[in-house]
Amino acid sequence: MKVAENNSPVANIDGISIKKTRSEETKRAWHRMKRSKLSLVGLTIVVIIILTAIFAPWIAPYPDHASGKIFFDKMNQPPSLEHIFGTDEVGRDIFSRIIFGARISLVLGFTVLSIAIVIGVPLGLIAGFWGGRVSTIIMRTTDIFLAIPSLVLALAVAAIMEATLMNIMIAISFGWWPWFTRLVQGEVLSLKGEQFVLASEGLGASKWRIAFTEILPNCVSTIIVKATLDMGFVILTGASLGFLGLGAQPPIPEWGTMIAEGRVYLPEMWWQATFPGLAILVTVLGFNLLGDGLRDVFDVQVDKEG
Amino acid sequence: MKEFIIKRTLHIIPVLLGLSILIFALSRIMPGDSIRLKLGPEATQQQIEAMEEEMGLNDPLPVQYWNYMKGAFQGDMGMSLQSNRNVAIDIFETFPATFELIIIAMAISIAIGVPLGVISAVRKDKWEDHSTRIVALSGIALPKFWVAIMLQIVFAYWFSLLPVVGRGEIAPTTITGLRLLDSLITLNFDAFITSVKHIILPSIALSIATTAQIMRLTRSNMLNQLNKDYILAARSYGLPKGMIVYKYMLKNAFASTLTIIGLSFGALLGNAFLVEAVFGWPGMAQYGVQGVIYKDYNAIVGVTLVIGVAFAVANLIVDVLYGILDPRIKYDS
Amino acid sequence: MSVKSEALLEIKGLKVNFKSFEGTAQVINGVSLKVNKGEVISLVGESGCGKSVTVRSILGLVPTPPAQFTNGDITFEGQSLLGLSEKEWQKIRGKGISMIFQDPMTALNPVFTIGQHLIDVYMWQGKRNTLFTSMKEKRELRKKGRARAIEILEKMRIPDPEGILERYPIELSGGMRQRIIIALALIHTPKLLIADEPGTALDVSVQDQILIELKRLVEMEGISMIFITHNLGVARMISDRVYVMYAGEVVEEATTQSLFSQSYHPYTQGLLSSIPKLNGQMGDGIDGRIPDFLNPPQGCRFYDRCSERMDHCSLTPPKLQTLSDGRKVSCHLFAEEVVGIHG
Repeated sequence: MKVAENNSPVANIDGISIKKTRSEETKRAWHRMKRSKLSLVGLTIVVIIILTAIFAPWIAPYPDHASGKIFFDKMNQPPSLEHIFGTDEVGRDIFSRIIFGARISLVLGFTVLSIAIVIGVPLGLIAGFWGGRVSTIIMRTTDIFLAIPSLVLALAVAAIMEATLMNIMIAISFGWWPWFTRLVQGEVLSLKGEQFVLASEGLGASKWRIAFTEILPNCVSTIIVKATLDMGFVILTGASLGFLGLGAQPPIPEWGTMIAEGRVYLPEMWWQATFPGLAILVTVLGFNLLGDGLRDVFDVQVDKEG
Repeated sequence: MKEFIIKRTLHIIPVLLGLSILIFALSRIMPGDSIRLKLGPEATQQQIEAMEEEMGLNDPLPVQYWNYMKGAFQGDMGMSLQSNRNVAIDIFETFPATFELIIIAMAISIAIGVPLGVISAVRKDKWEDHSTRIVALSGIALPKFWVAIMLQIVFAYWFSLLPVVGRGEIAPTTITGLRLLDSLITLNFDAFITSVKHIILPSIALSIATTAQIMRLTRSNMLNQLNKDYILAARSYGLPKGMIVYKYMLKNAFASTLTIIGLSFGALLGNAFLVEAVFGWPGMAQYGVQGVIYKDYNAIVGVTLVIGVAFAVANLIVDVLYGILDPRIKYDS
Repeated sequence: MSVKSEALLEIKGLKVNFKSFEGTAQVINGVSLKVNKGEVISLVGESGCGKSVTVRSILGLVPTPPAQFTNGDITFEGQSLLGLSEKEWQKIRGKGISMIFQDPMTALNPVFTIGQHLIDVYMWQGKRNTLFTSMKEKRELRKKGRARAIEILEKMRIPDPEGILERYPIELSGGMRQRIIIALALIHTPKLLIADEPGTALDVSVQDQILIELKRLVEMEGISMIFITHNLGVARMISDRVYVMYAGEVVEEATTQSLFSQSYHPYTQGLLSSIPKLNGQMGDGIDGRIPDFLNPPQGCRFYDRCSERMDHCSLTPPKLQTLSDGRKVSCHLFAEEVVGIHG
């Protein structure tokens, strides 16, 4: 008997849990979210970045600088009031380029995660719910895909394709879906024994029906939390590949590519490589904080822990 | 214990075989342009076909795979298009540099991450906890290649404290290929100091994310321990608080942290590709990046497989250590 | 009635609240109890009635926050415990007052051997830290600790104590682990032992054996004991006096003998009737559940479930009072002055 049991008497006394109402649950969730200031910071950052990406042409002081144009009169200027992050080797405003870069990073993140979810989640449902040989084959396949770091797998896949933004998204997705398969499979296994699933089974519902109408909706919060946390890491991976010259090619204002370009002019023109990196840091941090907060709110376990 | 190790090893083999098939198949999808790239723009169609024939690219895929694996087990991983040498030799020469970098980065991560995690847990919700957590969260979010560049700007360019690139000119006699170790074995202190100076920035850049991960996990594992009955029991016997924290809780927490250390090894292998590129570190990862750029498919397959094996071995070692620390593991099966 | 002797431990009007998002839960609502030297008392009640919180308060193991001690006092050998610092608590824990945990599966640290557990407790109980002890001293202490560990294991009639010391908890059966936990609590021969439902997680036959062992040891060493259980049968077997708790309050207190010959409080009667009879009939039990601690009823906390409730019971909470025969009960059925008002 733990002291904690007296801690929340509404939730559990005597081993019998009392069903909480939905509004009560939402209230508690919001309370947990509010209590953690860091996750609110994350939410704010994410909202700002999304708005920035949508309204980039209106926010950027020099919208035409996102292209490959050249401005000889403004080359290599350090940060100033006119160009707060300075200009690059062909005179483009780095701040404007970073703002447009938000679009690329978000598109990359959303696309990769969408592909990973579309492939990974159904496979996880099948592996978890059907079991047997199908499950073994699926889970062994994920083992193989996860046997090397995702960045290395993405590199190997990127090597066989032309370096474009689309291809790099495919390359990252190639190694990302197994995470969702594993996550969902684990979740399904734990949901399988629950009362409501057994009840539907008893009522003669088909397996497909149970999988998609009873089990999948119960995995949604876990998938959302995982996707939010992964968003940052996918963006980071995309920028890393861009930095290695395998992603979007200049003059596309991709943050990793911008750092690679700016690196050539070190150490004198330090601003060229510095500011795009800060943009990556803030974006990834924002999604991680929000993901952490959502994990507490939904009270789900998505980390691999021993 | 022996059974446990054998079982784990047997589990690894099919995974690595699957990985080799996957990577091999990927590499053969690669269009013939790698050979065209190699032979230059003047090469005739005949020359290209001759070379393809010579390299066995016209055989059916399963035959090519069989020949490749047969060769690989005898130390022949095919010709590298960038160096014109056998890929096995290239990897053999570049692997120690990467290995040395990763080991040092891992040592830094554990040495800093575990104590910070403990402090954060013990001082939960105090300023020490908040500041370490914010630093750790940022550490995970930092792009490694960018950190590497920032370290270069500050410590190499501005303050000229440390070298910008490379492993250093003064090299000790190669015994293990790990320069820090070799220079100590041969008592070559000039080489040792050079090697230390050169490895500081790359290893710090590489270790930051892992340090943050280990710190976070140690913290949450320690906090997990707080609610355990046996910790409450230890308090009820009148044991000193310090002993409960640093002996009773930490051993359990560290055993769980070990699992992330295995995974972190993979992250370090991946991030080495970025850090080596920035610091011109002559390791296997840089060789792999060059391979990707020059479409050197034998090099890509070779490097990927070696990384798969290294990752698997690292996880095996971690599992064994876990088994030693936590006797429950042995009885799980 | 036991002969009045010196009180070893006394709890007076203890009130403990737990603060959470939902509000303040009044988990312990004015509990008073006393343990005399050499006496064994039982604390009986359903799970969730505050038994564990009460005894953990005696060892200073209730975390504050979320808990708040709003009223009352706990005295041990005349010394008040509630204001103690962690260091002062540490001196009392294990040596003055010790505790046996309920679940043998979770109360032992899985990554240390039984020997490490016992020897550590022997060596470091009450010590501030391990840094200022010389290696030589440590060696000697360890030797003594080992000898004492073996001695206590032998006293508990555990076969091959030397071998057991090298084992990890997972290698032992539940019953054996429960014995080790008892040994850990007894290694410094405390004056007061708190037993939190030991053996409930085990087979009934194993549990009986362990309880007999425990009773024998406690008598042999002259240790006082607070025994927590939800099982009145066990309480009858082991204790001199019984406190019946309901929803954070003591509702009845009596010597074991008198309680089992006639129980007064309707709750106690309900508990007694829920014991299966020898003739094979299942007990009646009590319907319903413990009330919400967040919004406790205005009157008697047992009102909803009581078979003999009266109108004013829902309005006025009863007080624990001594009856003419010296027994204590908290129920309006026995409170003439209240009945008088409404009668």
